[in-house]
Formats: sequence, structure tokens, C-alpha cells
Amino acid sequence: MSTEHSDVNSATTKRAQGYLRWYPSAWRERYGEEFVAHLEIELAERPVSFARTSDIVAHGLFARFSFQRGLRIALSTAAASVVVIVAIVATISSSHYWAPVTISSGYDGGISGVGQFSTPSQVNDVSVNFTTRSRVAIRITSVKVIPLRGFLAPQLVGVEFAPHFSELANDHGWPIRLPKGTTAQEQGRTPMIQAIGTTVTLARSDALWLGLRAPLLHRAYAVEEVRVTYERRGVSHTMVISQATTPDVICSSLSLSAKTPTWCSQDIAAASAIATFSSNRRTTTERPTDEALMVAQFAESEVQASGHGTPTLVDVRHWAAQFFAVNSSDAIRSVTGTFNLGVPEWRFVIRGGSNNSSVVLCTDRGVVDSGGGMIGVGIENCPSQ
Amino acid sequence: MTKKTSEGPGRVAGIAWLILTSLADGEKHGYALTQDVVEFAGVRIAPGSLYEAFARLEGQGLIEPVASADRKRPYRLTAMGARALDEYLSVQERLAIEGRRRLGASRRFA
Repeated sequence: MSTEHSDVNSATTKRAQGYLRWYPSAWRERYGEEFVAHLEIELAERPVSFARTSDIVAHGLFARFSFQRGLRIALSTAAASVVVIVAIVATISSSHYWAPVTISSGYDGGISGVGQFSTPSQVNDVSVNFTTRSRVAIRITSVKVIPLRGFLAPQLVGVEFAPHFSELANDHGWPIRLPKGTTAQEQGRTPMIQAIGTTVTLARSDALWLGLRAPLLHRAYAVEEVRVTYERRGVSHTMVISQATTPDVICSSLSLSAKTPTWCSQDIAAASAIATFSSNRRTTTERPTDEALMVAQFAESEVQASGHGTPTLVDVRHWAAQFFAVNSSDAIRSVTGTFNLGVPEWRFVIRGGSNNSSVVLCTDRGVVDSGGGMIGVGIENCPSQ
Repeated sequence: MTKKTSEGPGRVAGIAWLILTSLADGEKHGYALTQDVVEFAGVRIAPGSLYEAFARLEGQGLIEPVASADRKRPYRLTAMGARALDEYLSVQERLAIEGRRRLGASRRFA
């Protein structure tokens, strides 16, 4: 009956294990082995599937929220910052002066996770770590925080540079203060340097500490990338430190209660979903279908997670507007539709290619359970009237 | 009209019934189950949805894992799961009969 693949290669196993990272450790411990075994076969059968990826990401995030309630409580009461950096792409154009700069790993002073609270006046300390192949002197001229699509950019209030990030463990908030007794202090090195306008020498591993604020109440701030512009020998370059598929979200709230409000949980999940969507390469033909699929699937996952059964047209329009605003080049111009015998029939009008045309796509009929809960949604060309 | 019971599978209801139906004729691991569901229902359950449903159904005592030396751990229906599925199917049968009866009546007067 089933086609099982016993010769799954190690690359497939690594990919399958990579998907596991979306899930919390408790979940991984319980289901990880069998989940990976399952994914290995699926990946061997169908190596690429945006629908599968988004399904795993969405359910992984919701599992994370339900499994890590205790961790979330601890994190939210600490009211600290957020940030993870997964990868860096060093874009240094036509210069022989520079070796590429790459980010080794994300690190945020010991607090990890994808969502945190912050009061509007609080400054969150966030570190961006990276390694270099060689010791070079640079002068950082500007640092820009680029927001994730559909989110606000945190306000940057300060940037400090620290060589040897592995020796740092900031416990004091902003501005950064090095704890007593660290190796850097014992060795007499300058622990922290005001970064903008200062010439610094890169070590093998360095850190930029960013002071970030989330000033508007009840709004979510998410970072897609950090762009660091610097000069070396009079030549200006910019390196882009990307958040990849794990964007950081700061929810601005006066209430630092133990429970994450629904709006914040939704925005955290939305940030990961849009980051995953953005990280996938696709053709102009594939793009509208993936947009509609993501919006429909995300609306479905959100509503399922909150136990409300089936997403309404209002839900779908909300996420369409957040992800693909009407003024963007890949806008979802409208969503219409109804439930027909309990089955959602949504019609998406999406901006097409460069000629400002529109692509019209519809949800397929999926499968609906007796209580009206939708369990699957796909996208296809609309049936002819 | 359907009535939710305390044994109902909750927010993953649609997938849950497919899973319970698939396990009704014997234990299966995740991939075999998805292939089975494709064959009898024409629906492919994505991995994230499947394991969310597994976790929920196991938590509700409707399915249980079977000890296995293989990484692909099989699951089987519990007695409670079999009862819940039976009740669900009974409701569906009554609904189908009533729906067909009314549909036939309305066609006669169309």
C-alpha cells in the first residue's frame, strides 16, 4: 500500500531534523523521532512543498505556545528583549579589502524565544553576534533595523560594539554593562564601545548590542534584518544581518501579566509565517498561489488554535491585508466568498506581474468535518461560472 | 444536528475522524496512516496537522502508541476511541439517511 523509502539519505534526514526546530523541546522529546522518520519519507517523495512547510511551521509554533507555557511566563515577567539572528549575508561589493563577514549564531543575552513583552518606554538590549575570517578595522557609520513585512520597526536608541561576544553576559538592561569578573575586564580591554562613528577592530567573534524600543502600545514590532554600514579605507560597505525564518517580535504592552494575549500570539505566529514565505524562492507564476495558500492556511491554523472552528471571511481579509497590503507590489487586492454547505469558497484577486494585471484564484473544496471545522485548504484556479 | 460530547476530539475534529477511521482496522504509523487516508478519503494530511492531531487524540485517550523497535511508532485505537468513532458514524448515518430523504422530497416538488 505505502511506498516506503529505506534509502533515505543523510541530507534528507538533516532537512527533516531541521523542521523539528520549530517545535518545543518537550514535543521533540515525545514525537521527534517518529516525526523525523515520517518526514524523511515525505521529503524523499516530494522534496519541495510550500504547503507542507507552512503546515509544519504553523503547527510547530502553536505546539511551542502550548508546551512552553512555563517558559513564556518566566520570559514575559522578565520583560526583556528579544532577538535571534540565524544567518548573515555579507554583501561587500567589489572590494579586495574585505573578507566576507558571516553571522555564526543568534544570541540575545541568554533569553531566547520568538516573543517578548516590553513596555513602550523600556529599552530592550539585543545582541547581534558575528564572526569574521580575519582581524580588520572598520568604522561603523550607521545601523538600520529593517522591519518585517506588515510589522513596525523597533526604534533604535543606541548601538554598542563588543569584541569577544562569548565573554559577555549582560544582565543589566540598557545601556550594556559588563558584569564584574569577566575576562575582558581582567585583561584590561575596553568592554563596550559606542559603535557609531568609532573605528573598531573585529575579533574572530564580535557582538553589536542594539537598544530597541517598541513605543506604540498594543502593536507588534518585528525585525527582518539589520543593515550595518561601515567604512574601511574610505570605502563604504553594508552588511546585511538577516533574521531568516525566525524573526524577533516585541509586543508593546503595559500589562506584563503571565499570559500572552491572543493578539500577541497571533502576531508572533504571523511573523514566522511571513518570514518563511519570504525565504522561499518562487517564480512570478507561483507567487500568487503561494500568497493565497499562506493566507488561507494561516487563517485556518489561527482559528483552529483558538478553538473557533472555521475561519471567517473577516479573518482571511485581516491576514491578507497584514501580509500583502493593497499598496504593495504583490498585493492581495480583494478577498470575497462565502461558505457553501459549510465549505469555504474564497476568491482571491492578487496583483500579478509587472503589467499591473490581476490573478484570480480560489480555495479548493477541502474537507470539512461535521461540526464545520475545516481540516484542509488548497488553492486552485477558480471554476468557470 | 450533531452534539458535542466530552469524548469529542475538539478542534482537530476533521482530521481526528479520519485518523480514528484509519485505525479502526488495525494499528498504523504516521506515514502508513496518511497513505491510507489518501486512499479512502482522497485527502492528504500534512505532517504538522497529523502530529498535532496525534498529540490531542492521545491526550484524550482515544488512541495510544504501540511499543515498537522501529522509529516509526504505530498507534492504535483505544476502547474509548472505538466508542467515540462508533457514535460519530451512527450520527453520520442518520444524517445521511435524513438528508437523502429530504433531498428526494424536494426534487419531487421542484
